[in-house]
Amino acid sequence: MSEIRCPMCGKSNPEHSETCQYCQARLTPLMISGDEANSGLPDWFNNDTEEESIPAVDSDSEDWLNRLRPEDDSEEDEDATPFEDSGDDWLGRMRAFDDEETDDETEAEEESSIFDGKLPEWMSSDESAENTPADTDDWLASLGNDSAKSPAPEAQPEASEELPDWMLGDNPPASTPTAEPAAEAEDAPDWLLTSSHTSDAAPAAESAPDIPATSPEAEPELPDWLAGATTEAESSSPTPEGESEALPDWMFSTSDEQPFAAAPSGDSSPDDDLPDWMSDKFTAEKATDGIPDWMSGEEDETLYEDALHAAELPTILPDTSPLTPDWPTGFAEDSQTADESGEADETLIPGDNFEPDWLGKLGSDDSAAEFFEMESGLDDDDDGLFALGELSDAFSDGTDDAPTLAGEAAPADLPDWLHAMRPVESSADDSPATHGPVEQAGPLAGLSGLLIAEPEIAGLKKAPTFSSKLKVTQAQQEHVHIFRKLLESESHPKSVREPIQISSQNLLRWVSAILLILVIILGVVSESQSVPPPSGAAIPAGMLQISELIETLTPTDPVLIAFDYEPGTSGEMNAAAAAVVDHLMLKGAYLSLVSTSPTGPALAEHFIHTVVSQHGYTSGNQYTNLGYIPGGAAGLLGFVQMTQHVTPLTFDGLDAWHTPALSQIQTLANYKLVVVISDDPDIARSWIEQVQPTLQNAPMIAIVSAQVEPILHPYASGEKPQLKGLISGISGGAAYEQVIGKPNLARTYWDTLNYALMAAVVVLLIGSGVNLMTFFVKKKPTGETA
Amino acid sequence: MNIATMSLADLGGALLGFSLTIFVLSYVIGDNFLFRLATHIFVGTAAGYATIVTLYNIVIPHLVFPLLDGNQGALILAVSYLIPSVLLLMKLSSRLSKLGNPAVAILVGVGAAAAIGGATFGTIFPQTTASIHVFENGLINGLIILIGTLSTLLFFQFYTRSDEAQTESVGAFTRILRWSGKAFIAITFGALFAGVYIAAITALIERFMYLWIFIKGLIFPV
Amino acid sequence: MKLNFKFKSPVSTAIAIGVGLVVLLGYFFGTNTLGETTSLGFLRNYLLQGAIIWASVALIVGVANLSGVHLRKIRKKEGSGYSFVLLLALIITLGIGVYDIAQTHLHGEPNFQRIRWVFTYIQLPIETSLMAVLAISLTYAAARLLSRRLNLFSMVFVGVVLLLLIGAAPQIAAQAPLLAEIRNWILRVPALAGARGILLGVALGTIATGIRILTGNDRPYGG
Repeated sequence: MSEIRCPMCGKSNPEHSETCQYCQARLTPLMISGDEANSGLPDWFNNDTEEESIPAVDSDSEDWLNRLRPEDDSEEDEDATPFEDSGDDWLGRMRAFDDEETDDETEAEEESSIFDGKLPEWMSSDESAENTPADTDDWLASLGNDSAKSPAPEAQPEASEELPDWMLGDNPPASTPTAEPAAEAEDAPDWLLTSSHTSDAAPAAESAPDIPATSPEAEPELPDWLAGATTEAESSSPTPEGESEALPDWMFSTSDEQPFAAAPSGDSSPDDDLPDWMSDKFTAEKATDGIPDWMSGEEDETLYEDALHAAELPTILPDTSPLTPDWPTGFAEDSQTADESGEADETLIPGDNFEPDWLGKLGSDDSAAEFFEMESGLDDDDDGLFALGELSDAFSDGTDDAPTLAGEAAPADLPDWLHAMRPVESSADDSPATHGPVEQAGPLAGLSGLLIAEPEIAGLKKAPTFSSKLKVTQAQQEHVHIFRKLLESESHPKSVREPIQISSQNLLRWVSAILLILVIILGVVSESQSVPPPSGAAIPAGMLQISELIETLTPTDPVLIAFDYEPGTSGEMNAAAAAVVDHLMLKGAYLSLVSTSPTGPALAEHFIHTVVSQHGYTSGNQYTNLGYIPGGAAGLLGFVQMTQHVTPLTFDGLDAWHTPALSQIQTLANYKLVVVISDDPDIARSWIEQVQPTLQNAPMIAIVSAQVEPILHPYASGEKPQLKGLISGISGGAAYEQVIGKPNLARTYWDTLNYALMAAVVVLLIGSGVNLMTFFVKKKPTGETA
Repeated sequence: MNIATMSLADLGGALLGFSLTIFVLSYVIGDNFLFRLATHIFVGTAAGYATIVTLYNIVIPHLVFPLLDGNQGALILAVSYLIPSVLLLMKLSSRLSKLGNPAVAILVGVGAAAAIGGATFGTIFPQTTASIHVFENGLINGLIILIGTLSTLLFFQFYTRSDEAQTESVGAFTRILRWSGKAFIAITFGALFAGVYIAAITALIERFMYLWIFIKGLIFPV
Repeated sequence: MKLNFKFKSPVSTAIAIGVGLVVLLGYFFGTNTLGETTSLGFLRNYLLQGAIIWASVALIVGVANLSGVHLRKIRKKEGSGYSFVLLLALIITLGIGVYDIAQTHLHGEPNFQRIRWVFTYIQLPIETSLMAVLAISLTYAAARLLSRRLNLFSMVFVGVVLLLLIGAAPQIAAQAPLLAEIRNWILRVPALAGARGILLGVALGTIATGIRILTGNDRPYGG
């Protein structure tokens, strides 16, 4: 195996790496050298190391295996962790203990008095590590009692008076067993500081003589959450909801993962065997929606497997690590010299490795039940830190042995049953390749496939940060790409290749276009003027009226001409209007040009300077271009009401109304004639609607495109038509040219227009004929079928 | 078009106009790059030209000059026009566009009132009067015009205010009127279509004449 | 007619109604019996001149909006080449126009020679050519008039078109005067009747729409 997969983050690392490159978790189990291990380990640890060095088969190990195996057979999953071996026992003891505490509360006070008078010396001095605690089991029992029974604060009102400074202060003194974590706390994050404080303060407070754990004076010194935790410990009925409110954020994650961490103990004890507080706890958690299966209380063997998997989850260690760091270092420091403390840290194996320490105690007396009660509390409720503080005290029991180990090893304290549990020989043959790395230290030495122990001190540095980004593999990216392409292709309609065919409609299209263009080109190039212009009866009566109106004009009579057409129809409009404007110029009328279109003024200028340029009209002398009037109907109404105000300047930027011809103009009624040249029926209608009613006696005529003629006819008809004359299109212009006897632009279009219209009629006739025939041909079979 | 006497600017302009005409007429063989190029040039030019004409013809004389004039009355008047103008410019911003609503409201209110007045005095009264005197054109023609006018008017009103289900339940007289109105509208639209077609053919003739004159000027410069 | 009086913008609505009523009443009371302008007439004239100015500003806003649309197209690479051409033409035209305005007002050089050149040789040919292309499209459309729908009214429509085109063709009209007469009759009787009906309908619709605006029932200004 060339790679080692990190148990924390699951990433691959080089074979010889000790720590994960990604999360800095330890990859290989700790190899504890004899000196280092012995320096701070209890005697049974020493025995382990000795046995490693001397691989002789110990009969105890076989015994241990023999005792272990039946459990394996009967309860395959329960022996997954050492906790479970004694799970039934300690749970049973815990229940018994619980019964005891409910039966006799005064006994708790008596037990708490243990703290009052018997603070272990290691707790009270720097050299305490060298002093064996006077009555470790007792205080451990009382510790459990203290947390479980929650002595009333008023029971020891004088306790706070005797509270040492370090208990009151935030920072524990260096003389306490937790001096090393406190020193390291500078590098640790705040939350770690908090946890270290609490974990230190809690056991100290509980184990301090004359000081109850929950003295009223001490409470204000505690963080709020810890105070709440203490309260809950007093009530012995933790409520998860209340916990979650009081917990800091990082504790939430711990609480979330408690089910996994506490799975073995929880599973190993059915509800019937659980103490009341645990029953309450489970009841409370059952009420929640997200209750895990293992919490349901069903004794399913798979639950144990789940618990094992959960124990392997990498998220557990970072979260639990803040709970446990303080005591191991204190433990190491107490048992080692300062320069050895770093190495001693490595011996502090969390989880499984430290279990035998207290197991040695738990196996024999009720303090085990107390401890497990605390442990469960640590798992289940928010006084985990508090309990852990107690836990650290509990383990300080092992620490008490350390001095003797450091100096002269005293390996005789290991209980028999624990001695028998040592699995060194039994698992020596297990292949690491099949069962994972073999544990080489601690009480589980020799076992393989265990959860790799990780020194919690390593996890103290920083909680591993996991990327919030979605990790997508290459294959997944490819799948996403393919899927995206599929979606995109759905939105794009596939182009259907039309079969190349010459349909009758296409033929008609090309024939009509070519025919029309050819005819027009022929007419234009030939410059033919053979077609006679309209004359006689073909000339509309309105032409004569217009001619008569213009004939009545005298030179310099003001005439308003509205150039309200677009450049697109300028060819037609110029041809239609050329004769009329020419007539006006012949009469010497003074022209005022205006437009409601932005292009109108330019078209007017273009008209004056190209179409009727022969008259030599110049701006300001014979005509004035008033420019553009925006606003549509409103603009025209304004022009009617305030003629000079609306258009103060000419299109050339000159003063519009100071010319002699226009100085007399106050309203549009002062004009002798109003001519509207338009290709838009709406604009022409606006002129008629807004201007014509105000003109009084001034006539209005319109020169319009052929497309406007049908709409404007009503205005030009009747007894009193609003339009005195209407000229439409080329035919109207040509007719007026005939009236005044002066061919103009319309005449040049006349022949070509004639040919083009004839061609259009032919195309229209052919097309309509074909369509009619097609319709009837298609309809006939349908009718027969019907 | 006498190319020989044209200035260089006019000659270049004529050549440019000739090219652009060809570009647009190339649409006859189908949509193509040249046609699109010409149309986009046209839109840009037309917008720019309209802006210049507006600035020069309206904005400068009515808003700028009064501010520089020194006449206090004109200044106040110009400022009173300037404020809604600035509000109108807010329409360019999606965030501030609501500020332009009052100015638009003025425009709409004035336009609506002008349209009402114009339609009343310029179309309703005169055309109704003309319809009353319609028989002066002759009895038959007058009758046709009267029936045509009424039926068309009724058809429009009837058509827009009812659906197919309702039309089935109307009386025979109304159905005849509807049919009559539809026929008159068909005739009128036919006349309009013919007018549009003639106008378009005239424009086509004008363009070919322009091209021919330009080519002729190039070939036979006088 | 169900009236909707829930105003989103009561100020704009009030302005539109007030302004509209002033202008409308100005038709009747804008001048006194002597032909002199009344106070209402002055107020109406003020508003009318303002409408002219604001309409021109609205045109500029429209052009600015057009520019913004094509700028966005360029940024999004949607037909960015054509949009670039459009904006380039717009900017060049504006530049030439501004130069002409400056020349006119600063140096007294009238007639806008340069901007007129742009109009004459660019805008005019293109727009006229577009109209010319319409002729070819209409020819094909006219030929296919009956292929889409064949009923009495479509046949009437095509018949009228044919008659008017034939009557408008000078040579045919000269050869067949009856066709010219028919054409004139169509234009002056049935087409006039239909057009008058349309005009009256449009006028009535205009009045109805105007009244809806002046009563605040229709608020196209975003109120």
